[in-house]
Amino acid sequence: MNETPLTQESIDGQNIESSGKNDGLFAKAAKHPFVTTGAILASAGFAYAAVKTIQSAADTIAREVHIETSIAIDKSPAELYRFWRDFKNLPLFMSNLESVTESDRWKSHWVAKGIGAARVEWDAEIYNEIENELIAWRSLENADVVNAGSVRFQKAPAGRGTYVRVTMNYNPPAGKLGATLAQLLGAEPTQLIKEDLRRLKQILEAGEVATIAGQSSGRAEEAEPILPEVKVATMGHPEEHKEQLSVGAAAN
Amino acid sequence: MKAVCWNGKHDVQVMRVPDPSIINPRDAIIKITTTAICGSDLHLYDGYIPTMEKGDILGHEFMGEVVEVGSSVKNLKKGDRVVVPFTIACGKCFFCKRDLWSACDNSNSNAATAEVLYGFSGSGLFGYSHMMGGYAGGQAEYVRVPFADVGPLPIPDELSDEQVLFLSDIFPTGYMAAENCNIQPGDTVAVWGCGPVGQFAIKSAFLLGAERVVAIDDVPGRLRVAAEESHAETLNFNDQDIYEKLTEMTGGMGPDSCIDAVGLEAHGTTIDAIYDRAKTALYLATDRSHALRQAIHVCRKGGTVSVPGVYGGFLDKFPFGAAFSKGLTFKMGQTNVHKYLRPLLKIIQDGKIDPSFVITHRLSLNEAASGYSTFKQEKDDCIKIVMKPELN
Repeated sequence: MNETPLTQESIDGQNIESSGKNDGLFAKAAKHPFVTTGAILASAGFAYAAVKTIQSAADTIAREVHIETSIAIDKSPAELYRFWRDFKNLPLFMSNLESVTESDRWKSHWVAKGIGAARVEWDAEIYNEIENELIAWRSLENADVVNAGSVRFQKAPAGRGTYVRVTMNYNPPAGKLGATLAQLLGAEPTQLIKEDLRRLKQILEAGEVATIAGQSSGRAEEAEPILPEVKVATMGHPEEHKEQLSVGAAAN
Repeated sequence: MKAVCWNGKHDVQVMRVPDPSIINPRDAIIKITTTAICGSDLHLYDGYIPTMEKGDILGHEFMGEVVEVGSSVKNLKKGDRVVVPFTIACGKCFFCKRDLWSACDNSNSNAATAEVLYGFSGSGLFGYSHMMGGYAGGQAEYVRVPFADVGPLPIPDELSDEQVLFLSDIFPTGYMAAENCNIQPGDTVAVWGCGPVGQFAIKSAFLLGAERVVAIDDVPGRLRVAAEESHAETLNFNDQDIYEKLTEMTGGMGPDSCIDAVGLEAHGTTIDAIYDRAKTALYLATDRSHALRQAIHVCRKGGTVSVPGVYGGFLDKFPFGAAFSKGLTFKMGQTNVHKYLRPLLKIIQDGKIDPSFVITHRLSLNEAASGYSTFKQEKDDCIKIVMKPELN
């Protein structure tokens, strides 16, 4: 996590009408390195986001916390773009995101988990987009957490699918102290986003997310030890063995 | 159901636990007919593998009957008899597509932990610590098998459980170890460790064309099996200097390939082995590597050291200078079991190898605790223990 080099000017310099089209300005903007800073936030844990009352009204540019990470996924840039651009898919792999509702082609409403039953919500707009290549978005006014993010889909060398590069900026509610607090709580934002991207990879490549949630173990509430039986360690055929075991089996 | 649970170092217990259920669409539930205790289970038993949790269900060598399949599993049906690879693999990622199944990107549910320790994560494994996914194992009456549409191998009726069970791990593991030696006509292959993997490495080395195979161990029963079942020449490391003996046997050249089928708990009688024991006891190193050092030391120039034995952490006094100066090739890793299932089933069907020769003990599931202790202490000429829930 680094402080972003973003300035007010650099953000504003890329400001595009939310109703804008995929025109030359988009393409030009996309080449600018600063455009890869943008919004997502969803996953960044944001336990601390519930402390929204301490947010300063002056914080309208997401620039305090900057995250960049990438993952190779064995799908084409176009497939990845289509999946990501359908924002209702995002909660499938972003663990802290509850829902994203698109109100039009550019605007959407995001709901993420906060502490306990608390929710963190914001409206966002797509401010830059290149089909099959880039989606960049940022929160609008009055966001619980000011944030911006982008995802770029870059064709990888032969057989390696697509490099998915995610950049996120956000302002924690209590400034850097908030991020520190989040780390203490175990919510390290970069790692959370890495895990989200891993889930995305699993969904798109394997069709499901690897999990052991809900599997059986000796830790289950109803688990109980079975008392040891007569110990017979013998060689021989199963049939002979069955007879030798009958004492132990009866005891069970 | 009954399941063998790990409760701590040298503490396994049969427990009654909830039956497994389908969690993901590509899952299947298997009713276990035969399962086994693996030499690598002893590393768990001895507390060498981190991230085990009390109550984890053990076991990664098992087979049985399909009783339920998830909605995405189209190639299996209720009643099919299958052997299940111990490595869990998605079949779709970069690594699976290149037959590197044990490096699957998508099957470890806890990959981040493995990444901290190893840089990257291998595939998920059954019953082999939370770092490897924390999947419940198959020393139980039932098991949940993820990615069941690419893993389990259907078995023809005419083959018995005991003939095919070891396709789950030790036969492919021994075979891959021998294959990794790139055996050429006239080659001598030395195999450290005559446990089950060593026995299969010996048989496989002959199958792949080795001229001579030298088996090294200090358990007389195991050396006897290597000699009788596979016609290996045998050396007991308590009775002779292995370097001297192997160089003498090969006209001063050293073996063309050396297989370390021992892994991180090697024991020996030389000074480095004692030093290792002291250091691991003090937690200054995690792995003892006596067998591997000896293999590197004696391997011929330009030869191959193949390591099917499991290592978990850091090695001390690793003779990298010897490896460098001789230009050795190293091959190692968890077995890409899926790659070998069908070819090795064919070898069994053709009668070239009957893997059941390694079985020395047949137990019920209830006897698991005594089974672990017998295997650990190498009592009663124990080589391989199989357990059958139906014997309970």
